[in-house]
Amino acid sequence: MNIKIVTPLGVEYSEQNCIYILIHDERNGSFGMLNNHLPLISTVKIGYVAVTKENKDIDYIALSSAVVRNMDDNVSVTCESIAFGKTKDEAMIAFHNLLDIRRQENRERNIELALAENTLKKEIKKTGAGHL
Amino acid sequence: MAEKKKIKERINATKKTYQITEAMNMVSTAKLRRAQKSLEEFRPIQESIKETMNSLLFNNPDLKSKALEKNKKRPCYILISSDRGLIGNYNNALFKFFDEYTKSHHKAKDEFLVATIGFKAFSFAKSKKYNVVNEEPNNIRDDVLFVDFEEVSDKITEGYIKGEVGRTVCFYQKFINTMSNKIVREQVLPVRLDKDYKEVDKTEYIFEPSKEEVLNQVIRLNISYTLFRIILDAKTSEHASRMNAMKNASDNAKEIEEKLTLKYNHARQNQITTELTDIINGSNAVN
Repeated sequence: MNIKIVTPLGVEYSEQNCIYILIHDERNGSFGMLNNHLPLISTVKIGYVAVTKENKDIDYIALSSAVVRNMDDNVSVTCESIAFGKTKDEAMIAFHNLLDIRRQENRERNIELALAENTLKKEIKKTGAGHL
Repeated sequence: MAEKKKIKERINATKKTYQITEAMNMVSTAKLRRAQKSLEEFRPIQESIKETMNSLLFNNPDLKSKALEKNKKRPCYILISSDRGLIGNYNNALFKFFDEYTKSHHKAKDEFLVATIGFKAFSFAKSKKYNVVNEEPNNIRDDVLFVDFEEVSDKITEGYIKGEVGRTVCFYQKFINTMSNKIVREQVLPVRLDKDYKEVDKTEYIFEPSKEEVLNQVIRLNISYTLFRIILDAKTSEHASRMNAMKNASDNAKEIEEKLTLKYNHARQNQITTELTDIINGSNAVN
């Protein structure tokens, strides 16, 4: 069974020859897929995907607003945002922190940009352009 | 002497400005190429979601969603600008167009809602005292992520489905080529279906938890992916505009520098002439 997870940024995760794929939605619960599963379309509002690989390692990927489609043992998950973790809790925490981290970064960035713009404006004023 | 010093200061300031604008021009050129690539790579991803939605509705004509139906509630306009200035007429042209559109289509500002994406659009909407949906500015960075505009996307989709918000239209600068952009209005809600859709996927799927829920989720995803594509498009045209604006600024700075250097040389020559005249006059007086 193969899986690929697509976000607006492109394919962010892909794995081939997986043994088992677990899809968990915080509202509707979980279901698993083995090889030769019937074609299926499902949704995840907020939840995670646990992928058991050939070597029995498990990858946890937390995601939001996902559409999961399985056909001929090819699982494609299209979603809005994802976060990775070594455990499901770690992945979910990383996912929930994503927005806060990004907002904080944006606030700092806005201050930096305003300072840079002011410096440039001062330099332009010093040139006396328009008073030649 | 004082004039010479003043001109020298202006030449130095012009040189610094030139260095900044030239660097910004080069950065924008590199970013433009990256943005164009992201936009091209994103189109097939969006098409696949559109295809899923069309296929689902084609195979299940009885399925209904409020996001596909028109409603007569007050419309919501999503204004997409840049975060920064130094971009020529990019934001001002968009804001002027938007202002004229709202004035010609509405009698009062409470007849419509405004959602903003981009720091400049937020400042503009607040200064114009529109009914702004989002409480904080939503930045659009070069590495834009869905979480950056999640608040706007969720609020308009939920609002439309609950019947609190009407037709939703995006206003943005569409990228045409490196020399030109076009201000466009693009409807996001109600979702427009592809009338010429021909079935490709004939697989019979199991729907978990239900067909209705799957359809609603696919539509939501389609809306957020449409917004993402529009933002990528606006971002691409922003880089193209900045590239051109900075190119013009660099050219102007170079021209000013040349003129100032000429002026400086004149002043220097005047000073030398005055000093020489003084020396000659002094020497004549002694003799």
